[in-house]
Amino acid sequence: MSDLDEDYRRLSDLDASRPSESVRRAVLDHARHMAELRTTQEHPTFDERPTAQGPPTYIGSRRTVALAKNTRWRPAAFGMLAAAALAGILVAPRFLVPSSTPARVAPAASTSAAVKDQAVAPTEALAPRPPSVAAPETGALTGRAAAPRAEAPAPAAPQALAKSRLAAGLDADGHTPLMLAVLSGNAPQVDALLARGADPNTVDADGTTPLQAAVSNSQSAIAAALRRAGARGARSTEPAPIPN
Amino acid sequence: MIADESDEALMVSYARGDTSAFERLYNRHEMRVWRYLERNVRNRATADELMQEVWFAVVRDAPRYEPTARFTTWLFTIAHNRMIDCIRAQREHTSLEVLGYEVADPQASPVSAAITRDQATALNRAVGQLGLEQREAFLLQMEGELGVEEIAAITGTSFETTKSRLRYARTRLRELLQEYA
Repeated sequence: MSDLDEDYRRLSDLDASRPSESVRRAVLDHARHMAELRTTQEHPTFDERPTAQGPPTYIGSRRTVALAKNTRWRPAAFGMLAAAALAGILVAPRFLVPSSTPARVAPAASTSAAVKDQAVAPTEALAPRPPSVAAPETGALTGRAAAPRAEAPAPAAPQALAKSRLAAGLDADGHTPLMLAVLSGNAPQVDALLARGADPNTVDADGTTPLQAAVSNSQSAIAAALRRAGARGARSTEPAPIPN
Repeated sequence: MIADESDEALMVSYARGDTSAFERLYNRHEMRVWRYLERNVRNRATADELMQEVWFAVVRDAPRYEPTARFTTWLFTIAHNRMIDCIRAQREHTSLEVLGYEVADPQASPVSAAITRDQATALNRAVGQLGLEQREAFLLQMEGELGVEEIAAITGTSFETTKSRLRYARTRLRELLQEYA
């Protein structure tokens, strides 16, 4: 953990600002209410015992209660069940013949998996991106431990790396003075360094050019100064020029 | 296998109806989400509204939650979406205001309260001076404890852009905190 991280955590602990108690109550009440509602809908109960207060008590969703109260559906339901069973006995043997082409099974399996994925995706536009969508691009989102990045230095390398960087005019993190000025948003310093001959196209240890850093951090004045000095390298983050 | 008290296990328990699991989850992440929202929108009332919206969305989507990703990634994705929508809506009507903060602990003595207020205010001011993109990336990293790849996925930017924003934010914050010290 860096000194900045420690400072941030220490000062955040000192910050007495916190959400209103009414928000906390509203959230927890809502969570309780929704949990009760879901439990009721998933496991409705039907109690026909007469009570001292009057009619029997029905606990459940409106639809299940209505079905429970209506007894006329029972003969029809039994008839439908009997018809379905008869149809199953007549039709099922046609599908029980073993297939001679097992390869045809695979597309059906993948289709059902895709349908399952769609079924669990949140429907609202603002809902969070489902993990299954982001997973192929970012290993960290899948819940698996992220693999170490290839560019991470070997454990024994940092001191030698720092020495070579300092010898090359870079700081210990691999930044050029010009890059440091850009990252600080210090336009006068950028101008001064460019006026004294700093190369605007020198990349830092990550391969980032000063112009790329300025553009990605919305430093338009600095980016303009760098371009005037002949900087290149922000093509990927800038809109393509419109052809004449 | 998920540890019993992991965020993911608590979320699954809540989806099955265990409200105490949700309460533990809320207590665990309340302040992190709050600081992320409040330090981004710079307005306590708006942060309160967003806080409620974020956790209501968690409650609503609980049955669809699948523990294939870290809960915090999911949680801060919701928070990011709500916060960005709010800022876009505000920009349509008026410019964002940077409001003052009263952060002193009422239990502290006058002298220590003043020191506490100054230090915490310095941090809030420093974070508030960052650009929105840098500030959000930094807060996702510090409050959400998310990695660069996760932040890039949430904010819809490339890995390199996210890394650059984080580096800018850290460099600038160091300078600002030294100025205020």
